[in-house]
Amino acid sequence: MYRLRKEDASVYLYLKDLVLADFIEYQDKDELIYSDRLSTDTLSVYDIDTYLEPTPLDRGRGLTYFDDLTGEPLVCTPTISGSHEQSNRVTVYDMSLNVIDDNDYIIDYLDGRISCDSSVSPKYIDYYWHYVSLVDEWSAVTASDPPVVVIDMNATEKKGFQLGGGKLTERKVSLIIFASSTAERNDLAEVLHDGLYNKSCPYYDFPEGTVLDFDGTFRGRRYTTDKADNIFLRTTVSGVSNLRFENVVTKHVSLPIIMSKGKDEVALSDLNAYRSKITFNLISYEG
Amino acid sequence: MSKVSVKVAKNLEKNLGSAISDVFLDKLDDLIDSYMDTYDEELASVITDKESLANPDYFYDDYKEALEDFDYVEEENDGLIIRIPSEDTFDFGGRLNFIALLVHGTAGKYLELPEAEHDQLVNSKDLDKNLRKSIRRLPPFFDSNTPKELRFYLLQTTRGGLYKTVENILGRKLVVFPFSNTSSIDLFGPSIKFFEENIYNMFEEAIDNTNKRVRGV
Repeated sequence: MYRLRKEDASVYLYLKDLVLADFIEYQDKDELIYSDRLSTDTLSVYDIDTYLEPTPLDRGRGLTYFDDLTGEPLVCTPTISGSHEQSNRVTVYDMSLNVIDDNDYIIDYLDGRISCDSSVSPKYIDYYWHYVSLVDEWSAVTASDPPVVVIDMNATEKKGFQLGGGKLTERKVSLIIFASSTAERNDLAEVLHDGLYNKSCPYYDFPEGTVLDFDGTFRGRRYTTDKADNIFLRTTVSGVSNLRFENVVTKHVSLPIIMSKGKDEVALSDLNAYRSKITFNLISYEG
Repeated sequence: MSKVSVKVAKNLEKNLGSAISDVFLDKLDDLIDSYMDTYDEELASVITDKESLANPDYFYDDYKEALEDFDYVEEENDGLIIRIPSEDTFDFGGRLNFIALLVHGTAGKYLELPEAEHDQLVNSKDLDKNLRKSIRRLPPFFDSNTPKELRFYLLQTTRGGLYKTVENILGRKLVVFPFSNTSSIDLFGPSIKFFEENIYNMFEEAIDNTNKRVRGV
C-alpha cells in the first residue's frame, strides 16, 4: 500500500469511527435468516433481515466494528498497540433469547452476516450501525440511499519545507455530502466541519491491512478462535507527521436539476437535492 | 497630515487604482485563454454520444462569452475590487447551468430529452395529467438564444421509472447524459492559480506605471 492509499484510508477511519460517531444507530432484535446459498457443510451463514431504511447494509455503511473509541488512544503507546474488535456493539441470541458467546461466531460487518458452525443456532441480533454511508469513490454514490459522504482526493502537490531534506505533501480533498433533507445536510456539514477544523488525524501504516478484511470480517479474525487475541494495529508511519486539515471551507451546493417537491416527489426525488461540499488541504510533513 | 499631503496621497491612490485596473485588463485575454484551455483539456477526453446535445463543444462559445462579459473590475469610493470567475462568482444562469453540473459533479444517471419531444409530451392530451406535470418540471439546459435543435431537458433514471414511461411513449431509447455519475471537474482552479501567480507582477507593473506617471516620465 502506497502513501496516497494510506492517507485515504487513515482519513476514512478518522471520519467513520470518530467524527461521525454521533451518527451510529442502534437496532435490536432483527431476525437472522439462514442462507442456503452461502452455507456449506461446515459453516452456517445467517443474513440480517431488517426493515430499516436506509438499510444498514448499503455500501459505505455496515455494522460497527469497534467499541466506543472515546478516550481510546488512536496511536500505539508503550502498552497498547491497537484496538480490539467490538465486544458490546453486536449481540447475537438463539431462539430462546440466550446470548451466544461472541467467540462462537464471526461477523461480516459489511454485509451483516453471521458465520458459525452447526453447534450454535443464531436467531436474533442487536447491533449498532453506521447511519451515514462513507465511500471513497464517486461512482459508489448511487449504490446507497442518502445520507452519503464521498471522500474525493483530487490533487497533490509535494514541495520542500525546510533547508536540507524534508518534504511537505499537500493534497486537495473534498467531502461531498448527499443528504435526504436540509436539516440532515446541515447537521452533517456542521459535524464534519468541526471534526476537521484545527484538527489532525494519525497517519496509519496499516502493516497488516485495514480494519476489515476483503470479506468484511475483522482483520485476522478468521484465523483466531479468541477475539481477545486479535487487534487492529494502530502503527503510524515513521518519520511523517499527523495528517493536518487546513483551510476547511463548507459550502452548500445548489444544482439546476433539483425537482420541485410535491406529488411527484417519489418519482423525481434526487440524490442531488441536498448537497454540501467541504474542501480542505490535507497536509503532512516528512523529515 | 497637512491638506496637501492628504491630496497627494488621495491622488496617488487614485492613480495606482487606475493603473492596477489598466494592467489587469491588459492581461485579461491571457486569463480568459487560461479558462478556455482548461475547458478544452478537461473536457476533450470526454466521449459523448454523437447524438448527445450535451457535447461540451456546443457550450464553448456561451462559456467564452460569459467569461468575457464577467464583471472583473469594480471601482468603489474607497478602492478597487478585482474578482475572477470561480465557483462562487461565476453566473451559472441560463444555459450555463450545464457548467454548474460539471463543476459540482453529478450523482445519478440522466437522459437527454430534446425540447421538441418534451413539448410534444407536455401538450399531449393522451397523457396522464400528473405525468405531464412531472415532465413540465424537468430542468431545461438552454435559454432563449439557444438554437432549437440544441435544446434539451434532463430526465433522471430513478427507480420510479418516469424515464421508462417516456421512452415507451417516444418509442426510442433516450441518449444518456455524458456527465452522469461524474465527479466534479475543476474548470476554474488552474486559472485561479494562474491569476494568483501573476497578481504580484501586475501590482509591480502598476506601481512602476504610476511612478512614471507621477514623475511625468
